[in-house]
Amino acid sequence: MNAERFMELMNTLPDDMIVTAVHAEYRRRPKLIRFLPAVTACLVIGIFAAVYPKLRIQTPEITEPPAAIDTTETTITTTELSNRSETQTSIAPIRQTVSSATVAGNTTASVTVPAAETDAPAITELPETSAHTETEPPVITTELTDATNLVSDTESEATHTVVQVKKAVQIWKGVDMRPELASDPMSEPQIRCRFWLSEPDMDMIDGIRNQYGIPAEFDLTQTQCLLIQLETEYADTAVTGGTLTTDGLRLYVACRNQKEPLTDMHFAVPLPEGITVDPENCRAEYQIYEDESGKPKTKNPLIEIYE
Amino acid sequence: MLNNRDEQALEESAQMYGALCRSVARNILGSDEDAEECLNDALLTVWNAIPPAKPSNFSAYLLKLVRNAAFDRYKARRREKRGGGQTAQALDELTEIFPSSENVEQELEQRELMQAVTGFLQSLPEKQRSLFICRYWQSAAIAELSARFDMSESNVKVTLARIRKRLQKYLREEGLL
Repeated sequence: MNAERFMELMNTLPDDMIVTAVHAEYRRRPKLIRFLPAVTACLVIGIFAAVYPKLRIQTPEITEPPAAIDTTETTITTTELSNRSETQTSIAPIRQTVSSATVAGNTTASVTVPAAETDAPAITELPETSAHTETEPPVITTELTDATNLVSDTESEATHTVVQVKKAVQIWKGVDMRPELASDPMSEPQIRCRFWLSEPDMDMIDGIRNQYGIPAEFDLTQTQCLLIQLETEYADTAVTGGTLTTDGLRLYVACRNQKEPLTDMHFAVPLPEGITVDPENCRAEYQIYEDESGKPKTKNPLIEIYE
Repeated sequence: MLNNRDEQALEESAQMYGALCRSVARNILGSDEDAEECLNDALLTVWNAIPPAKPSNFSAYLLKLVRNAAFDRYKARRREKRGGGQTAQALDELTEIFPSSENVEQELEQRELMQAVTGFLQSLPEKQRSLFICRYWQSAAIAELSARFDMSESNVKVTLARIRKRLQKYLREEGLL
């Protein structure tokens, strides 16, 4: 037998074997593993695209604005203060931080600074004279230390440049009034500050719109305002600005160290949508300057709203 | 239809199996014209054989007829000069197993040999068996096998060489070589 004969004899192979062979087609099926690198690459790109923008955003260091300048602040009694007053001398331009308390939804903060004529600081308990007050107002006592301890521009700046400003709103200033002196006049020059929120009540709206300098086009039924009433016996009292954080409002007030008749000042801060503030958490911070050279900027004060 | 002597059966057979039959004949002869003639010869044989013949697998029956016709032509042509189709190349490859004709023919019956070859092919995986049959029964070209079996040409050659070597070893172990 030779090869040619063998090939001829192959015709004797079973039919099914031949038919199967001549019709054989072995097409390689697409295997999933072939697509694995592409799928993996797509996943990696997708994950990277999702994560990378977040990685690029650097979270700002959030330091809460100072709730109060507490470093030198202690609570002392009036008696103690009277003893101290003998030893403490004059006060220069000072910045005082006052606490606040709420009575019947209103927050009243007050601070008493010594009269220009007196050399010693004095803290007095102040009766609440507001119509909103139903009970005796809280006692606000603040130790007044040397001005050099309390007043520091650098300290003030350092505590205000910590978070990202989201927006700022203009403060509306209402009319200044010089009410009749109360039956229990302030024995010492004082600054008192009250905070409360406007209510969408028409009677109230009509009453406060002019008093607080709220523009006519501002819809008080839709948007809330933080209302501020400032009672001062100091000359040139003005709001210099403020910061509104989740911890509440800190209002910066400046005045000249010269006594004047009691004046009622009214301010309104329109609260942007989504911003809430609790009057209990509102504070006023005062800066008293001796002369015009130390007068801070009081024109167009803004309330900076922080997140 | 063939049993009823209906000529339409031949046309339908040509339509159904013509392409495959032509490819088998073309692989052996290397000529489309010869392949067409082989198909016609095979169909004539079918017409003459059926009835009384009753092939169990008509397509295999027709393919074998075409292949036989092609081989007859190949041998006739070879007598004149060596053919140019794939058969010559396939035969060269098989000479390593069957180097001479006289010794084997003298010692073994051809039938016994093909039974052994059939048994060997049945022991192979289907893909290897089909590859072997396509190459040495259908005389398919290496390139065609490469495409049909999704293998590289070198892989087809290597696989066929390994099958031949195993067949040679098998036939020797069986005492047929």
